[in-house]
Amino acid sequence: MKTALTKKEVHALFKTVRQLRDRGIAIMFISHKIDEIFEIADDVAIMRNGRNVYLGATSSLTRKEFTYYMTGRELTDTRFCPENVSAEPVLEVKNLTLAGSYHDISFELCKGEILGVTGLLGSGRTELALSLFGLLKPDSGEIYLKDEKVKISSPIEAQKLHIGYVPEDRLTEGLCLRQPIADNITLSSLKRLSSKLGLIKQKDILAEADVWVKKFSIATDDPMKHASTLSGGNQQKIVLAKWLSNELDVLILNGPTVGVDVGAKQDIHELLHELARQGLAVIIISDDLEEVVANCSRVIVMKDGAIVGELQNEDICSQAILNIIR
Amino acid sequence: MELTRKLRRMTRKTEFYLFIVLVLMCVAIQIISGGQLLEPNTIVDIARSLTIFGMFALISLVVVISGGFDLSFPTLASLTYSVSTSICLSMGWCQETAWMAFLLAAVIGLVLGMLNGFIISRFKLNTMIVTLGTQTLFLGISMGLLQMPEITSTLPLGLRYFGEDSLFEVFSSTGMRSTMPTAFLLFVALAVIVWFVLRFTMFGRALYAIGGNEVSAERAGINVKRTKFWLYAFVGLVAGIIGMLRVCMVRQAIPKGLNGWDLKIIPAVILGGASIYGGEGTVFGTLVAAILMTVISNSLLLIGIDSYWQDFFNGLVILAGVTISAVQAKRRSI
Repeated sequence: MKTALTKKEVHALFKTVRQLRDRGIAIMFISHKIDEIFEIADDVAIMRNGRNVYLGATSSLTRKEFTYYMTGRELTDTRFCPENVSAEPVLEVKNLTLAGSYHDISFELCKGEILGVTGLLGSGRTELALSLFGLLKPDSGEIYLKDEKVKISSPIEAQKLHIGYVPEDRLTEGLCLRQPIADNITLSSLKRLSSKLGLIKQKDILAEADVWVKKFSIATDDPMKHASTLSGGNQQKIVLAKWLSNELDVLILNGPTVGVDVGAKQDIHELLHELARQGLAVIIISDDLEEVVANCSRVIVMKDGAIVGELQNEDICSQAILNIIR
Repeated sequence: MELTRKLRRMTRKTEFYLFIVLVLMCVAIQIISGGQLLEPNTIVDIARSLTIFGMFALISLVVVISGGFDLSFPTLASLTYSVSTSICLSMGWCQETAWMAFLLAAVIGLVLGMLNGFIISRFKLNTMIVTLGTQTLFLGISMGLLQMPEITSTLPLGLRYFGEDSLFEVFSSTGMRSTMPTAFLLFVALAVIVWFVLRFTMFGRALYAIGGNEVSAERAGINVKRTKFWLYAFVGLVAGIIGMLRVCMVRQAIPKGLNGWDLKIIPAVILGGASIYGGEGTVFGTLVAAILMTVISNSLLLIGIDSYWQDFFNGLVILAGVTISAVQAKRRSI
């Protein structure tokens, strides 16, 4: 329910919730966000796979225990260490400008890198991503892919250039919820899956879907079930699979783990690390600073449509990013 | 394991239950009517009434899957057959064979369909509103601008011959004769084509994806504009041909002859398990629903119910169908 709220709104919501509690109203708060639970809940019941695995006061739990109860495994956040970073950049953006959204944006991205783009809501980070995927036309500036100047005028064009985009809101922009998981996974790779005559066989679709269901351990017993039957984390894995089943040079993710539980979040992060190690160039757009710190080898900080700072490897920490934003 | 999986997939579908309803209903009518439903001539009569209804249902299904509604196909078809028949009349064509009228209908239908497609894809408008507009527009062109006449006894002979052409004839136990129209083959052919396109082609997959979520489909690299344009263009083309077929079968071309069919056909498609929100629907479901509706309207007389109860029963069946699909959709999303 709160996934789409900003920090400020969450704060206001909590204030109201506390007022109601003080008036003697019992409140049941359902969430998978650790921070929120520790902030608001007096007691907590943790459920996993349909069973109650913990019941007690929140204060007697540590974060680590909480995560363990939720996921059934010990999670260790490993920081991403880039290997095999290419010498030549695969993507180069020069002086990209869109009036009212962002201006004079220049950066380079190499294979094997995970670049973070962060900033507050309205800093132009999402608009920049949309422009790189052909959904917003920039006024001026240049984009180079593998040293070749390109014009990305539509998502179809972006796909031809091997750029993938995992959107901010997977429900409205990334998935066909009332359609089979298999169809969702294969939607972008239908051309590849079709025969010489351009015909698509259900058998091939299911085979391709099975590969990704296994690879990403998507929690379903039947890929013909609708995508809406899955949890947020598993849905996000479908969106990722959709893009990764194509040849890809650059993957842009906008808020990749918004509304995703801790276990799936860890899975997705590890997956991104693995992909980068295999030579994919990744851009993560996020305002989740912990996520940016744990996953990015380089971070660009945006404010009011401009790049106001850049951090590398060991310099990346939440405080440093916050200092730049302020 | 594989079998139980397939069974479970089947029971998740609305059309599976609809099929059971159809079978039960046929058994009931067969008993009440004293065995008249399964008389050969009753079956052939039902097949005859099903031909045009079923074909319109098939093209409506394709539109509903894409998340749209085409309300304009009845007036598009009637404008098309009125103009085509008039041209044939004044040129003296179609005295022996009917193909020239069908060619004209296909071309005119395609052009009118392209108009729908252009408006819908170019300006990204709500399909129901656009086709409601063109529905009235086509009627206006036919009645006001061109003042199309009713063509009955002067219908070109070629069209008449084609409409009377039959595959075989059957007799009931009381000696009543019915003929199976050759046009039924066209209905079967259309069903196979639509099934094939939806299941095996990029175009079909794109329709399901667009109906499922247009934004997601566009971002997955599907050319939404082009797909929608050709969808409505093809629907226009096929609707033109179906309209011409009906002229041959009823041996007259009445400019208002199909008015209101949209409100008969589209509910049948929904009854057949297609989602009103788009993205879902099968040829099998639509066929079962079309057969169900035709059987009901054809057999009310058999079981001694006045034919003006037909609308009542149609309404009842539609309500039942929509309720079933809503319950199904809810169950599937959990």
